[in-house]
Amino acid sequence: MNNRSIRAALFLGMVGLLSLVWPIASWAQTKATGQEKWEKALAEAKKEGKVVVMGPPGDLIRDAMTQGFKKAFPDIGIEYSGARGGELATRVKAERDAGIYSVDIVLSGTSTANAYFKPMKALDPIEPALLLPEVTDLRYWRDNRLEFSDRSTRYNLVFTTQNNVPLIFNPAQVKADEVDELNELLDPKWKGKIAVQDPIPSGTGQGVFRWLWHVMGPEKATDYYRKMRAQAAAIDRDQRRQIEWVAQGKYPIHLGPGTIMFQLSKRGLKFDVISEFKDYGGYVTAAFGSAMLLNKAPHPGAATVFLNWLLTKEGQTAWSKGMGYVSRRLDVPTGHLPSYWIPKAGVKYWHGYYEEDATLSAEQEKVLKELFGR
Amino acid sequence: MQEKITVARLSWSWIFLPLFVALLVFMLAYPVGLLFIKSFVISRPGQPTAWSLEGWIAAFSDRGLPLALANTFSLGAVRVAITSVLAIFFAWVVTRTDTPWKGFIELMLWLGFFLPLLPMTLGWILLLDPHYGLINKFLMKVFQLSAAPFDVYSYWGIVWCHLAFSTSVRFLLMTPAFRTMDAALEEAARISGSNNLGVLFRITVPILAPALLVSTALGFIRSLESFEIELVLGIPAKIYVISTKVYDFIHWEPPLYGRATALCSIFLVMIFLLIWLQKVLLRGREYTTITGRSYAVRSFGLGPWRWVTFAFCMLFIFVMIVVPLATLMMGTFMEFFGNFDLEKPWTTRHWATAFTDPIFLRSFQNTLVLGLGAGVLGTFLYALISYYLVRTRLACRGLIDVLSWLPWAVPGVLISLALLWAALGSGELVKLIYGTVFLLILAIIIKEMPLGSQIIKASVMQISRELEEASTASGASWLAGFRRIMLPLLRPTMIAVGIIVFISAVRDIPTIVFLSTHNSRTISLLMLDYIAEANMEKAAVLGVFIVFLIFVLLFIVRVLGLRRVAVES
Repeated sequence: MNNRSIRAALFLGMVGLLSLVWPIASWAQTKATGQEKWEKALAEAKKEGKVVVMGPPGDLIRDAMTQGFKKAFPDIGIEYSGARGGELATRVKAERDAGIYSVDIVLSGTSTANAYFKPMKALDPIEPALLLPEVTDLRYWRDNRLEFSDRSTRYNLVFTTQNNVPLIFNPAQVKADEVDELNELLDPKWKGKIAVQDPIPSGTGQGVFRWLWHVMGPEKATDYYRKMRAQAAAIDRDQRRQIEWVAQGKYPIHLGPGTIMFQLSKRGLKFDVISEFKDYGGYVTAAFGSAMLLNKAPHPGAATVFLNWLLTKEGQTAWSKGMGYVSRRLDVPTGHLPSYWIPKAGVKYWHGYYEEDATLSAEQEKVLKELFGR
Repeated sequence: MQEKITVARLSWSWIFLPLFVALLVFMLAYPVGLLFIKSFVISRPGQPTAWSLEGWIAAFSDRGLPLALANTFSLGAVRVAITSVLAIFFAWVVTRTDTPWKGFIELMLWLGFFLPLLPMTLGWILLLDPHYGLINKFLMKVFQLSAAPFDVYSYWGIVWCHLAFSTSVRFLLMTPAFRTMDAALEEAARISGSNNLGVLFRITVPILAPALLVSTALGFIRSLESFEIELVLGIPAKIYVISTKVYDFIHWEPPLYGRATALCSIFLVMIFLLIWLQKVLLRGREYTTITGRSYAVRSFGLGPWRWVTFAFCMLFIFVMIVVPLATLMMGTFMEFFGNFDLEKPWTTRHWATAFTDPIFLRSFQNTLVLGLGAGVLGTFLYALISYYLVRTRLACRGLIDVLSWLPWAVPGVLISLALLWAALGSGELVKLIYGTVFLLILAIIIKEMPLGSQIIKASVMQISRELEEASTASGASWLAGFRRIMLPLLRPTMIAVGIIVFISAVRDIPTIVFLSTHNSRTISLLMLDYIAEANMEKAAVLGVFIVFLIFVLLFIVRVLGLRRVAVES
């Protein structure tokens, strides 16, 4: 082998070595950058002193978020205020119109994000703020991806996906196999025995009726709506009252129970659930489990730290226990949750929370108002 | 002498009144005006602003509106009729007769006013639900009935559940006027041969017409606005009223504030009608009962009839206040109100956890600041407004009189929203109080202005001008006369108004819901957290705590305040 050949072999060897080392070095560089960004955000957060979070109302979730975050980051304060989506948006809009930017993060339903905050142009993209490897590693997340509800997949990160229970019943008066198909609910023997969650305002009642429209198609769904209206004994918006009616046997069947059913069953109310119908299956919901990062946030460093903490195993466990929701993180325990809420592997569900599906169409709204309007 | 008075009045008015009127217009007309203007905006928050009459058209073309209107006025009229008779009777018993245990009766009727409405209604459901109500079950068992005799989810169920609160509030509004009425007029009637009932209906009631009319008007407007009981009992019975329709619009997603505001214009029309009616009925008459000559408050002996009045009062108190209160207390120790079929129906957990909430203490402090701030500042402001309306002949009186009613034409949550817009859009000075308890105090003062100013106004009308004229003739300034003559004479009314405002402030949720932040949260808003998790029992614990807080306040006031007033009288 002459010198030229040796030089050529050495060159090729170097190229080969470089091609092996370069990605590793590049990865290390990225990792170092992510780590640096995290440390910078943490230092900023400590200087800012606190993060302001708006989210679902309730003392359990308030305590879960504030105490969990304080335990993880004792040097950063947290102010948590709870309200319904529309109220949150109205308040933030009024503040922003007056040049006040007081909120860093909003945790709410996906319709709140897409119907209010996105048109308000109040949101920053989420992904650039995700810094911890535990959060960005897609292996930890359901379907190996981060889920977004908005069409641009940038602004509204969904971290809860669970079965939406469409029906509960009193097992002393109704057998499960009598109501596990949608058409069985139209049996004359159930006339005057079904309480229906009002499908017109957004909520679990509307979710069920939107799903029916999707799986049955407009014509069949309209017919089903009419027949269900004739079957219903009560159309109500008070979730607790309707669940109590079922437990007490006043109306043994309830279509469209709210997620509050889990808290009530933990406290002792007795009822059984249908999580999927045999003839039409079921669907999944994000409930209040989605996050928005507000632009012009007063505490951007603390917002980044909170968002990353929320999406870690620790943060998601606190969220899951506080709300009683199923996390999209696969390493979050589910022992504290009812099995009927956990989506089954391999089943294709309708996702009721995507921007394009999260609201009633004009045609649907017209039919529902005609049938269920007060 | 007359010249001096005019000069004094003019100098005072030219310095103070324009500022005062401007402040009132800013406090009342600006937020409500904003609400009115924004009711024509149909775009969602964040979308480009779009103006339309759509909200108003949709609100008034609602197919359920005629029935809701009929229900609203029918329920309001029935309640006002029943509570007028009861409240006049109780006010007369407590202030003008020798019925035994008058102090206790008065205290218990106050209690009826500040008991939390929603948990009390749950208490009545526990007793009168046709399916599991304890009274119904008992009667069905004893009398072998095939169906429940009572149904709380009905028209009369709604009227019944309102009785304790509505009677109590009207009793509170009337009592000060009864208390400050000169007994000489009644004595003259008696000497002329009239019996007790004759004196009540021929002398007492006509003389107290301003106070009775105001109380009736306030009671009627309040009944139009009332929604908690109608929401809980009316909807299962398919009885809808205007206020539950407004509630529906507000709690829509997205909230339909424009439509809600449009429907509230019905309340506004009613208020204008009532103001007009009040003016027509009182025009050209003199209602002064306190003059410079004599002012005596004495009880009249009813003889053996005093035991009849005593028995009736105790029966009302027992049935309407003690029974549901006991049920409410019992409910706070139950896992679920009225559900005895659970494995463990009883628990102390709600009490244990409500007071260990990490934000309870701060909420408690905020509640006290809010209640005391609104009670004291509000009462003085209402006294000034009343004096301005009754005693001066200056411009804008009619406008201020109408404006002072405005806050009751709009539900609390819309007042809250209007104040949010007004505060954030009023420059840096008002923005400074955004997020603090002071903005909540302002909201409550505005919300309770119709009640406070109208009740004190009725009392000012009872005081003769000659007292101030004598004071001015003796060389006292207007301020000295107001401080040394008017305020002492108005003290019982002002104390009553102050307490009512305090109670409203510590119980209120809707009026402050948009204005409160993490740092200015009150106990009533803490209750919202529990209600959001459908834990009405834990919320009721805080409701009971608020009752206790108010009871302590009443006790202090009675020991320090009213006793002194009584001694001075």
